[in-house]
Amino acid sequence: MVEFLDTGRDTTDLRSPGAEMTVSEADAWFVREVLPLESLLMQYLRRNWRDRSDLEDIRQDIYVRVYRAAREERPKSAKSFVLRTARNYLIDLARQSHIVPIDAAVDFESVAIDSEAFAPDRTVAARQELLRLQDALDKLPPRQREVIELARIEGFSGQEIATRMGITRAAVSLHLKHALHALSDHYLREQIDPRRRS
Amino acid sequence: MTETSRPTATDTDLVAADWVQRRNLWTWTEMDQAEFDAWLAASDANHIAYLRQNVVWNAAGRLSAVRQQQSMRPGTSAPKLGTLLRSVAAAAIVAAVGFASFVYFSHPLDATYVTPVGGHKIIALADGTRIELNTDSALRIRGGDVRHVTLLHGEAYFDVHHDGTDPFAVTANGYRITDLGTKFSVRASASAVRVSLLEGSAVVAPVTGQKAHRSALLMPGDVAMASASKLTVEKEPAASVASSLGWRHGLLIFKDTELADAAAEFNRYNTRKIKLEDQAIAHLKINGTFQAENSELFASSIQELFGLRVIKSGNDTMLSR
Repeated sequence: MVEFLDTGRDTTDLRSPGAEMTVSEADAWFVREVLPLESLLMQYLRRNWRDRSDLEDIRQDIYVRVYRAAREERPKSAKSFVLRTARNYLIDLARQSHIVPIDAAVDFESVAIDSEAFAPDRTVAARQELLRLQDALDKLPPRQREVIELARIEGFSGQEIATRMGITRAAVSLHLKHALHALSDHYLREQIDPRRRS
Repeated sequence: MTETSRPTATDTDLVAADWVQRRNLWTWTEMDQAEFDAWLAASDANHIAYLRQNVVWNAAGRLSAVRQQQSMRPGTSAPKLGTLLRSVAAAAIVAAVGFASFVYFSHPLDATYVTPVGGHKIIALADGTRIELNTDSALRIRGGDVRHVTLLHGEAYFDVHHDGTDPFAVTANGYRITDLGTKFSVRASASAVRVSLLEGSAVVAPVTGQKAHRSALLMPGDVAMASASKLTVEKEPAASVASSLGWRHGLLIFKDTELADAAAEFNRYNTRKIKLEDQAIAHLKINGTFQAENSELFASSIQELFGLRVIKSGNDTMLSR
């Protein structure tokens, strides 16, 4: 499982399973435990659902189900809970739409096992995070990359970025919005190119 | 997916990304806040989309320390982040293993102070202010302006040299803490800022927008928790605030602390992680003072005290009944 280094340092996060969570506990839990599983979840959905155009909506619905259930009672293992929710969701969806899902009911164990093979050594987690971010940044169009770098690396305000780049404030906002959206998909989903691990 | 009126997940994600950049980079008014609150509350899907986009925003902030080093090389103008990052990432690991702390300079007057896991650094500023950086933290001083510092992530303690005409301010996760003659600590995590006040007083307020809406005046013993959507202040006994600063002396001080929380604290300071194999032991109460970097000693004390089993596996120390 991929680790996210800037999350989960609050001591309050480690409440025991089974307990109810407040909104902020649930948020912290979701960021720390569920979002790092996104690459695994998408892999599972792609394998078990034919229509690719539905996948983002399916992911969103699964997240909502996971989040709501977790607020009532914190799951013991986020990974098996997310995969179980995904499987049940696909089965429901297949029933509603009278589609026979491919493998939906059976493939869940094998994905869970596969995922262990990806687990990076903990000592390289920090490096992996930086590499994943870098890979994600590299994939952005030049302007989007520039606004993110100016905002998050150089620490400029929106107005300062507009002045430096000689574009309107609205253009800065638009670039940033699309840049963040694209970054989130790359960053949360992609494994690092193994050639970069050396 | 059956309701035609529902926005697609991609639309929701884009709106969330827009809120993240609006909140962080532009003037933020009470009207913006009200609009944002209404949007967040409108559906769990919106709430989750915001969390998800915000994680990426925060993660991108971690690249700042890396960028500092590359721009310090003479003769390179506007260097690319790409290739250098890989070597710096490797260097960060070496540093983390060696428990060293290091400083990057870019502009002669810009400085970013970084500590690795287990690190601790004292920064004495020209004006007499003293800053202590805790484990896995980064602090930026831009343009030599020592009265305005930014905590990029992690935790720091500030013993401020007070100057009524030039107040000292710390920025972290969209909030600004302004001193009125103070000793305080600031901890920035993924989604929140925690400010504990020891002496004097300070004001916590969002960096942009109308301050009156969400700001607080802190007095000794006050602990403020500020997140994207709210700011709360709780009073804690002086002893408890002082205990939370045990890290300044390399100590972790627990009083009726649950084992799960104590283990999480140790894990902030050590690359060898303590894991609870058995959730039944998560609620065991821990009392005592421990050396933050000596999680082995902690594990063996707990082992004896509660008769637990300790198994080392790779980089983990597993505790179970």
